[in-house]
Parts: sequence; C-alpha cells; structure tokens
Amino acid sequence: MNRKRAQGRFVFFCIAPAAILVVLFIFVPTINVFRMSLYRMGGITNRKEFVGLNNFKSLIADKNFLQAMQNSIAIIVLVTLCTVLFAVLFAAILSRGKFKGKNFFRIIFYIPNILSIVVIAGIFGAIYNPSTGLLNTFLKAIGLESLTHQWMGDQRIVLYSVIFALVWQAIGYYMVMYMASMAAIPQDLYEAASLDGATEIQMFFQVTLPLIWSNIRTTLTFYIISTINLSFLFVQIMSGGGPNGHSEVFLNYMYKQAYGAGVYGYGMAIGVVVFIFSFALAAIVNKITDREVLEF
Amino acid sequence: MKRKMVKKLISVSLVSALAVSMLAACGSGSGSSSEEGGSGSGGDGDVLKVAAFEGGNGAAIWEKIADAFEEETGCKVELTLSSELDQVLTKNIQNGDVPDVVYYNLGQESGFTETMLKENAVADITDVFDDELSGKMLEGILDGTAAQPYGDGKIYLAPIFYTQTGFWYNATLVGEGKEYAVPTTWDEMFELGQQAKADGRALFTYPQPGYFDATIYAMLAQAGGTDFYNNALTYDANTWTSDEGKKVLDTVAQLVSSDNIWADTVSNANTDGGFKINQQAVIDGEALFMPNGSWVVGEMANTTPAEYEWGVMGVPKWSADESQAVYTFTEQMWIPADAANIDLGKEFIKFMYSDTVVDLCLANTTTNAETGEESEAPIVVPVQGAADKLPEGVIKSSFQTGDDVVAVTGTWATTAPIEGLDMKGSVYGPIDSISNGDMTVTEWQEQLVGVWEQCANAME
Amino acid sequence: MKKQNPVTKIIFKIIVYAALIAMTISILVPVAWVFMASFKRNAEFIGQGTNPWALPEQLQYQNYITAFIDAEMGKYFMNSVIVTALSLVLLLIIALPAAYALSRFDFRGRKILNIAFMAGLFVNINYIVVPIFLMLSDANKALGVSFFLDNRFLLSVIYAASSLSFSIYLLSGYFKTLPRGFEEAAYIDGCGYFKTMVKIMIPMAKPSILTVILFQFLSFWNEYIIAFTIMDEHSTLAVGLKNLMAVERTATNYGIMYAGLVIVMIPVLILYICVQKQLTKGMTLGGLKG
Repeated sequence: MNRKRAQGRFVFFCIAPAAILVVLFIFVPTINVFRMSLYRMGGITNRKEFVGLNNFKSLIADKNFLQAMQNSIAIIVLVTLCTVLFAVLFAAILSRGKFKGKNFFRIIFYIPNILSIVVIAGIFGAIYNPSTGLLNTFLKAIGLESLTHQWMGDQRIVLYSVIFALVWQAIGYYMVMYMASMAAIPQDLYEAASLDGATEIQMFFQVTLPLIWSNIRTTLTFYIISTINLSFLFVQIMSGGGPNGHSEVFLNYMYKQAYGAGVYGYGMAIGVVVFIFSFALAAIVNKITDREVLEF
Repeated sequence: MKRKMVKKLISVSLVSALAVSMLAACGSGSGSSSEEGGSGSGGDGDVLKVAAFEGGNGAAIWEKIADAFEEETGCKVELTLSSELDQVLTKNIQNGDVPDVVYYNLGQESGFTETMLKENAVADITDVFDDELSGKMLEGILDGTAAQPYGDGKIYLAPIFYTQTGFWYNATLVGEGKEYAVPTTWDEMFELGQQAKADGRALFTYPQPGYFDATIYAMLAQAGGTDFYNNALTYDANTWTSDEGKKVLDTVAQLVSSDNIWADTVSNANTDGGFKINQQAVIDGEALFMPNGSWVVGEMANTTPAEYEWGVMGVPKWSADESQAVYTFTEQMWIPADAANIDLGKEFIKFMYSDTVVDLCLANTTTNAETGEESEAPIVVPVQGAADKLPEGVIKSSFQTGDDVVAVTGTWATTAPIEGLDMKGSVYGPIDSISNGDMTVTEWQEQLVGVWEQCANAME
Repeated sequence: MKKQNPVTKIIFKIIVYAALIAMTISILVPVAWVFMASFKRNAEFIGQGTNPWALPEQLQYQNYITAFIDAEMGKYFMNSVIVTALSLVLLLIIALPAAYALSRFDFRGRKILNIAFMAGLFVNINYIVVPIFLMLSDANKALGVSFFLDNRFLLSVIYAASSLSFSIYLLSGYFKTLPRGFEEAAYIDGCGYFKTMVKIMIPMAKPSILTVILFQFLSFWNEYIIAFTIMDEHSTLAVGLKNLMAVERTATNYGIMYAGLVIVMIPVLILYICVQKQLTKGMTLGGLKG
C-alpha cells in the first residue's frame, strides 16, 4: 500500500512538469485557435464578432481551399511513397551491401536534413530556373533539350517539382532511421536465410522488410506531420502557391487568409480543419497498416 | 516575400504657406496646438511614433524627414523602419503598442493596410486636407478609392508619394529610328509582336501577375470611361460581362498568349526574386515591354549596361482617336484609429507635403550594399509642380503625360472581410494560367463575375 | 549479389553505385553551389550571359562582412547559443522523467496521458504562435511587467514545451525496450524510484538522449517563427538571417543573401561533421521502435 502511494507520488512528479508545459504552451493555445475560429476578426486589433460556425460553412464552399486540400493530399501521399521507397532501398543497400564508402554516403545523404529551409529553397530556385537553371542547362548540355521544362511555371508540373524537393530533403533522415532498425536485426537471421539459398533480394523481402515494418509504420505518422509543415515552408519560398494556385497547400492558404486577407478567424478555422485532418489521417494510416508485429 | 517595391520620383513644390500652419501642433511656444485638442499636444518632449516601410526608397529618407520634423516642431520622432513592417506592426499593435503614423501602402502582398481598413482601425483624416492643402495637391489625387477606401467621401489614406505607371520598354530597340516603332494602339502593339517574333524576341513579359493592377485599371478607364471605371472599382455587376470589360480581358489574354509572351515569364513570376529575371529580360532585349513603374530603373541599376536606355509609354488604346488613360500609382500614409497622438500624427502628414519634405524626397539617393555606390532615387510627392523639378531623363518623362491624357487613380474599393477571397490571386492570378493556355478568357471572366458579386455583397 | 551468378552481381553493383552517386551529386553540387554563389557579385546572377555554373569572377568576400554586420550576427549568435543550450537542458530535465514514468509504470490514466502527449505532435507551431504571443502579452499587461516577452529563458521554455511530445515519444519508445530486470535489481538493492531512474535507467538511455539532443539542436538552432514573434532585442540568429534576407531581397543583393545563409549553415555543418558518428550510432541504438 505504502509502496503503491510512493510510486504514485513518483509518477506524479515525473509527469507533472511535462504535463503543465504541454497544457500551457500547446493545448491552451490550440484551444484558443479553436475559439478564434468562431469569430470574424482581422487579427491585428482586437475588434471581433462572434459568428459561430460560419467560418466552417464558408470553408466548404471555398474552391481555393479545396484546391489547396487536393494539392496537400497529393503531396502527402506522393512524398510518403517516394521517400519510403528510396529511404528503405538506400538503407538496405548501405546496411547489407559490402562495398567501400558506405560511411561516406551515409554522411552525405543526411546533409539536406541539416540545411535550413531557406537554403534548400534557394538551392531549388537555382536548379529550376528555366533558362539559367542547373537542371535545364544540364539537360541542354547533354543533348536532351526536349526534356527541358518550365519546372515552376507549368501548372501541370509545379506540384511535382515541389514534391521532388521534399523527397530530396527527407530521404537521408528516414534512411538513417531505417538503417538504425536494420542494424538491430540479428545477423543469424540472414545467415539462416542464406543457408536456405535465399538471394539478397529475397532476404530483403522476407527478413528485412517484415522486421522493420513497425518502424516504417511509426515513421508514417511523422511523414504526415512533417510533410504538412514542410510543404508549407517550401511552397511559401519556392512558388508562393502559384501559378494561379496550382501549388497551393493548406497551411500556406491558411497563412494567406489569416495574415493577408484580413480574415484571421477564417484562417484559424482552416488551422482547425488541418489539425483534425492530420490527426484522422494518422489514425487511419495506423489502422490500415496494422499487422502482426514480428519480433526478433 | 514578393513585394512590389516602390521607388519614387521627385517633386517640387510651389508650396508656401503650408509650412507655417503645420508647426502648430507641438511647436515650442505655439499655443495653438492645444486648441486642436487631442492627447498629443503638449509642446516639447512629445513623442511621435512613426512606422515606415523600408523599401526601395531606402531608410535614409525617413531619418531625414524625421529630423526635419523634429527641428520644425520640437517634438521627438520615434522611428520604426522595417522591410517587414506588416509583421512588426501586427505584433506591436497586438501588444498594445500602436504607432501614431504609418507609411505602408495598399496592394502589398501582406494586405496589411487593407486589413486595418477592414477592421475599421484607420482614423479619418479628412480634416488634414483643408482647402489650402488640397488646393496644391495634384488634381484628382484625393478623389479615388486609394484615398477614400470606403467611397464615402472621407479621406483615410494620405497619398504621400506617386508615380505614373505604364509599359516600360527597351528604348535601345524601340523608338524613333530604332528597330521598332513605339506603338500607340493595340493593333500596332500586336503587329509589333509579329515583327519581334520574326526576330526571335518576345513582345511582352511581366514581373508578376500582380503588376497588372495598374494596367487593368488604366485599360478599364480606357475602355469604358471614368464612370464605367468608378463603377468597376465599386463592383458593378456588369463590369466584366459588358463589352468594355470583355474587351479588356480579351486584350490582356492576347498580350500574354504564347505568341507574345517571353517563355520564361510565368516560371520566374512564381519564384522567389524571379520578378527581377523577367525585368532583366527587357533590358537584355529578349522581351520588349512590361508593366512597371519608375522604381524599376533603380531596382535594376546593378545589372543595367551603361548604353542601355529605358523608355516608358502609357498602356496602348484601342483606337487612335481616344484620349489615353494613365494610371497614377500612389503610396499611402495613415493613422491608426487607436493611436495616442492622432493630432500630432495629422501634423506629420501635413508636413509630408511641405517644401522641405518635397525637396528631401527629390534629392533622395540609395546606397548599393555591395559596392557602396550611391544612386539617385528621387521620390515625388503629389503636389503640383513637384515632378517638374525632376532631372531630365526617362523618370521625368514618365511623369510628363501629354495633354490628351486622362489621369486615373483608385483601387478596388475596401469591403467587409470576405472569407476565402484572395483579391489579388483571383483577379490577376489567372493571367499566369491564361498565358500557359490552361485557362480560357471565359473562365477568367466567370471567376471575376463571381468575385465581383462577393465583393458587392460585402460593401456596406 | 547472388553467389551463383557473377554477371548479375556486377550489374547489380553498378546500378547500386549509380543510384548512390546520383544522390550524392544531387546533394553536393547544390551545396557547393551556395558556397560559390556567396562570393559572387550581384551582376553575376542576372543579366545576359550569366552562367550559374561559372566560378565567381573574383572572391567578393565583402559579402560576408556586409551580411555579418547588417544582420548583427555577433549579437544574435550568442543569443542563439544561450537559447539553444538552455532549451536542450530544460527539455531533457522535463522529458526524461516523463518518458520514463510513462513507459515503465502502470497507473491509471497512463493511456490518456500517452494519447495527450501524442496529440501534441499534431499541433503545428505555425498556428499557435499568435495565441502564445497574445497569452504572454496579456500576462505582461495583467501584471504590469515586461518580463514575459523578449525573454530568453521563456523562449527556451517554449522551445522545450514545443518539442516535449516528440521527445517523450522517442524516449519512451527506447525505455520500453530495456529489460525489466534492471529496476527490480535496483529496488532489491534498496534504491528508491528516483535514484533508480537517475542512476540506473537514464544512463542506459544515453544513445536515445543523444538522438534527442542532436535532432532538437537543429530545430532549435533553425527555428525563427516563435523567436521572431515573441523576441525583440534578444532575438536569435535565424531571425537575424530572416531579417537580412528580407532586406537583401528587397534590395536584391543575392551574393549577400547567400553569404548570410553560409554563415548560419557553417556552425551546423561543423557540428554535424564532428558528431555524425554519434548521431548515427545514437540512432542505431536509440532509433525508434514500434
């Protein structure tokens, strides 16, 4: 009994500081965001008017928002798929392959992750520029002039240009994470498989992938959260959402509405929807990827 | 981020009596200030908080104006300068620290001034423009929605600087006796496009779609006359379905079609800092014309070859016998409704039209951060005669609109806030898509009709 | 890499190398390009015949001096060091016990607390920054002080709070993998809960602590949205850079802009090169599991 109480007290003091900070600086402001989404306000002065759920009603009919939503979903899905694919692939090669320079590649691949977004956006500005950009000048130099494009100007391409930048930036980070969990796979599993005559590729699908599955699953939540956030930062600097809204993503749209169009409350309503959306998406993804976890 | 910078020109003024009346508020020993009431009038030691956007004009001009005001009145000026003034002020005002006077114009990406107007947080300053002051101002400059944003006859925004806008062109290639003749009508313009195309040049480029604002204002006035134009600014339902409105849209669409546009335009328009590459295309002769203002000269000075010449002309007209409409772009100064020193703020605004400030502005220079070189960046205050004092050159010529010209001012009227509407994006954004061939004029027209309906409903 | 077929093996190897090298080039070339660009004059960026691949005509090192002075880098640099260090210390002091308690003890409400901390992951700092600012500003007004804004300690507290969810998630994931036996042995030896945690369990979590530090170092160092909003005189380097970028973009001095980027990037790159071994080792041992 006494022990139970002592334990209770210990747990309380361990968790209380964290709980207080999270409530004060995360939950209370979030509740305020929810509250402000019920007002019509400009956000600069404190003049405001209660409008109930009107902001959410306007949201349903807002074509620009729907376009931003569509783009955001496309970005989340494609960035996640491409990044998982490449990150797992590179991780497998660098963990299992036997060749020189493994360390070198690992160090280099992580670099995009430590660069500030501003640097990355600057880099891609230099890459995508139509006439003096690194990409088009390179394509011309090797005789592939027909492949040159208006990477940021063509509204059918611009979204993919942004996605490419996001994937480029994310691969290294997740690769290092997957390498970490691959390193934890006991070597004898591979030896056993190898004795059975499995090829390297079969081993990847039968040993590596099932064993890092739970790790991949965890990172899916991160993909959702970080892609929503990063796509905003990238778009804000790379394209501003243009041309004509074809690279708009929802946080950028929220920002424009809250700080540029004088409807701060409406912007907050968008924030609420994004919050609920990302939460729900993570829950759904978590549910459908749920399968028996293989332990080793 | 993509901010339209405004450098302005010079001015001169025949002002005279003004200077005297303006010191009243906090001049040492002047008792008259207290009659004007207001918390701000207390003689020496008063502090006036001035917040100014630091754009292409540089910071020095504001320090000079502040010094001059201090000298003239004896009160102290506390200056806040920022190239992200919208963010700084949002923060300060939320924190209860409200500036007394703000220089931040309409039409910026952040929409800060528009938001303040929508919140009814800008003070009425009609009484600043007494008969004497309004008498020396440029004619019509106080009439439009750029000064009277609600269209209710009251002035909230003081136009402190102005420039004439139009199409800027490569005068090394275009002009009398040059490779191409200066067009005055759209037909001539598009013929020129054919000729340029044959030589491997594009007729036209634009820095960003937002730069079409002045062009479209001028074209609306050109197409339908002053009444039509004013109705359009206050969201008349027939604006875009009328023949006049349709003519404007069709012409813009033709101008940016792949026949006439410089191919990289849209890409650059949407990338950070890319608008300069589009402007450079005109200097390099890859494109001939673009919509812009006189600030472009200083903005591009670093990469302009010595032998290059700028030219500027009004937006072409549809038939040779019409008068030409030229849009006057103004920059605004205003007083927050919650300011502590409204009266002193008003004195400061008056001071902006004094000989002292007019001359300071004309003599403005900017310093190149890289080379330390100073270059002339004259700013013009919209008082009569100011532009005449500009040094000879293309900037001056941009202010010399001929006799047969209708000056146009104003902006889309301020409405109550509309959720989900991005005015700039929905009006000018489609120009990118039309240029790419991904949108038709009819779709643009439908979108505009929808926007106009929303705005008309939100006009009080 | 089939043992049986050397040709397949060679082809496989070539493809692997090609992919790795392509990725390496796509990273190194642009980064090197930024360094190169920071030495260029403005005229080398736009205008006829400018070639992005060309070397700088001369080393315009003046760009660095201008960037350093304009952005007041010296002053902001110290602030960044203080804020980043303080945030990390606070974060660990608060997150470690919480993660430990949540992962190793069974008590009522544990599930709800776990979900609550998880929910914090989904809150985006971009939309709560204004409410936070208003809250601090109101606190100032209510108490008639100016303590709550432009305070490096409070900024650190907010940084720590904003990354608690992620850190607790990561740390408790690691604690879960440790065998039960350690604590039981410690209790039998007469250690109390607190002593067991501090002396036995936390040292064992070192690899994952390192991971937290390295991840959060980067995000604290590069963060500017909160810093810009609530700080003023005591702002951080990233805000200095942001201001510099804003000014130079208005004036479009590309060389100076890139020089500013390099100045902010270099400490991070140096740190990364120094600790990259521990970083990947930390992830190897402390990486996320389930």
